[in-house]
Amino acid sequence: MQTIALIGNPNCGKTTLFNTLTGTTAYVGNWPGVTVEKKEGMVNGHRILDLPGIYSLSPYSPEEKLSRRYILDEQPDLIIDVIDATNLERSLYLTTQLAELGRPLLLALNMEDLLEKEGIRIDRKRLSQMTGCPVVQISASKGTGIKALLEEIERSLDQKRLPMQPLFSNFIERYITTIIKDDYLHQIPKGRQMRWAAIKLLEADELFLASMPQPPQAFQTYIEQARKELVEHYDDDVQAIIIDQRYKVAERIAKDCQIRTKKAKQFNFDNLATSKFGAIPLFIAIMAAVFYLSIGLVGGYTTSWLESFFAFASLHIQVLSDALQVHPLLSGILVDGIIAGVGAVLTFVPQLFVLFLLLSILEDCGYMARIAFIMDRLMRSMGLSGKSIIPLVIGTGCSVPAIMSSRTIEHQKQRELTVIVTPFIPCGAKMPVFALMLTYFFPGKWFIAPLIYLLGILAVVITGLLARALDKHKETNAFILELPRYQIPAAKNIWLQTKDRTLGFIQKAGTIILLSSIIIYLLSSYSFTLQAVDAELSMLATMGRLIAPLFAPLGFGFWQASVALLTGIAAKESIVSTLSVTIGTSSLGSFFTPDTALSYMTFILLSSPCIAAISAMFKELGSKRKLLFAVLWQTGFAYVAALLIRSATLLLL
Amino acid sequence: MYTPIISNIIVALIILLLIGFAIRTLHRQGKKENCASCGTKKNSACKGCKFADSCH
Repeated sequence: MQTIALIGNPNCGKTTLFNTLTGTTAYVGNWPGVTVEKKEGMVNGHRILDLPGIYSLSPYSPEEKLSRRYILDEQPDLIIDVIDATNLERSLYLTTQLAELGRPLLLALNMEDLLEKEGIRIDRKRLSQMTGCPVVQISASKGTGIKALLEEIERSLDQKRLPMQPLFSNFIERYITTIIKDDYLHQIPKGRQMRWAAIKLLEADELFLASMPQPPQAFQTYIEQARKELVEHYDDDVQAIIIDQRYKVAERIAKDCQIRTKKAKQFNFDNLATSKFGAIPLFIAIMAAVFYLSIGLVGGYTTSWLESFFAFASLHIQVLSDALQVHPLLSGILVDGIIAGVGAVLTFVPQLFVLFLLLSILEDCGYMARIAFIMDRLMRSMGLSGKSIIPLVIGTGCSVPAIMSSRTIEHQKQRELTVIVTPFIPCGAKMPVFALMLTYFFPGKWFIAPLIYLLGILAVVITGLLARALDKHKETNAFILELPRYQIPAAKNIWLQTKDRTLGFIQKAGTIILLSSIIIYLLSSYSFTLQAVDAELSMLATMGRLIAPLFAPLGFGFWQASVALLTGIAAKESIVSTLSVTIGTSSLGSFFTPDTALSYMTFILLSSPCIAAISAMFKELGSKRKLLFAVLWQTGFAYVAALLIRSATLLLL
Repeated sequence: MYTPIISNIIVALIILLLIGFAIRTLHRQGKKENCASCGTKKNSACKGCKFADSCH
């Protein structure tokens, strides 16, 4: 069995190609940085790996380190360099580095379907001659050229033809040649190429130097002298000189192989979508439309239908239980616990399905990356890493993978800050609570829903600015965020994402919500002496009354709201089921008012997340003290924010 | 005479089955998504560790 590695720039379609070749359904996103792990699959009896997207093999980011380490240590039998055919020059920069690794290389020119639109034609024969690699033109998303690619993979694995080495200017080449001739280079680790090692020595690549023994004094002096002469000649540092040389090679090849015909006229939506003043209003408008369609339009119909359905089922099961003389404890658990609790959560499935569907479409068509782009300016100005965008975007689905994805941020303080602020972004689990409150207290006012997102973003900004002000070192780092092109969303991707998120929600209803509903029912029906009592005298009411006064300034100092917040620690959806079991969703108006509903929503949005996310935070922060600080900060921030929102609402209303 | 007894048993069984199913699913999920499932074998790391290519 031979091994094939898929490599290429971020968002060039590697995962789509991986899925097409292996028939798997790995998550594909229309924004860079989706693959931060390596994925394995099988194609024609060969092992194939999808590596994270990278721009170079310089070990600056974890993705670059992972891909470089894999290729150097594992020595794949064939490297498939997936090239965005519409961006040939930049893609060839990586190709110039891959060619030095001494492994057979196959160039897959992806996105051929877009070439015509962009007015580009590529001379594949010439490209093959200039790089020494076989070239296949494909469209991974449309599935064209895949047969030819599979044939070429087999041929390349048989022939094991090595690519041509990119040559730099004579001034640099003479140093490379001298270094290669030195005996010291014979000590390079197995699988490394002499030319590659010589370049790494000139660049003073730390990872490479660490793998080599101490060089003889004379050789060390020569290397230092060579670096000095290069710096004097080019008036730049050696790494920048090599980068420049590689780009010159890439530019020359691209110029010779690329024929630009006519540029199709493009509608430049980005002038608005990423503009300084238009971007945020457009984002609000788009999110308002998303919420109107999901919660307003679809939810408006389906919630009442499903509520009627569960009320009908509860009534008839209760009547049947009474007729069959089922013990009140058992019928209570079934009807007032399970059906009321789980049913209250399940009524939101249709609108959440539409919400997840629309968010997936926004992500896949490339719009979410624009939001990341707009936010990137903000992020860096307040001490967060530009990479913090990725967890924040993932956080709109679920905070757990979002917190995990912060591991790609190199600087510890920025990573920890990202972990703390990520739960401020409203996740899918909080949506039923917002939908419930919006439906009952703000019918028709759909502009409030996107404001929830803005409030979450504002909390991120304020926390970031405070952390920045307190940080003495003020670390900053560059993050290249490439804006993907707009595309018609692929139905398969949209379906997979929407299905996963919706099924995850339903599964939660059948597990955590079901168990918590039973517990809440029992606690709200029995006293500490285990006597069946009215809810007001129950164990739950007693426990709730202990903490309820804390929330009195926020307007929800009654025990039902307090215990709902407590059960929300297990899963945020539990808040809806608890309110349903203890109050009944139709009686919300007797307990909440519009200002307390807003305050309640704000507290839920910003307070510490569910136990799964807290556990993920603990893993990433790696310290109980830091976790305690994070949870206290989130909850304290939520408390103050809810208090301010309530006061402002009381003043305005 | 036996109807209430049978009904009570059936309802109790339904509730127990639902609880059992919920606990089993949660247990499986926890194993899949937790570092506790990380083993020494290749590709046995949990979701989070796979995501970052580093085990805790």
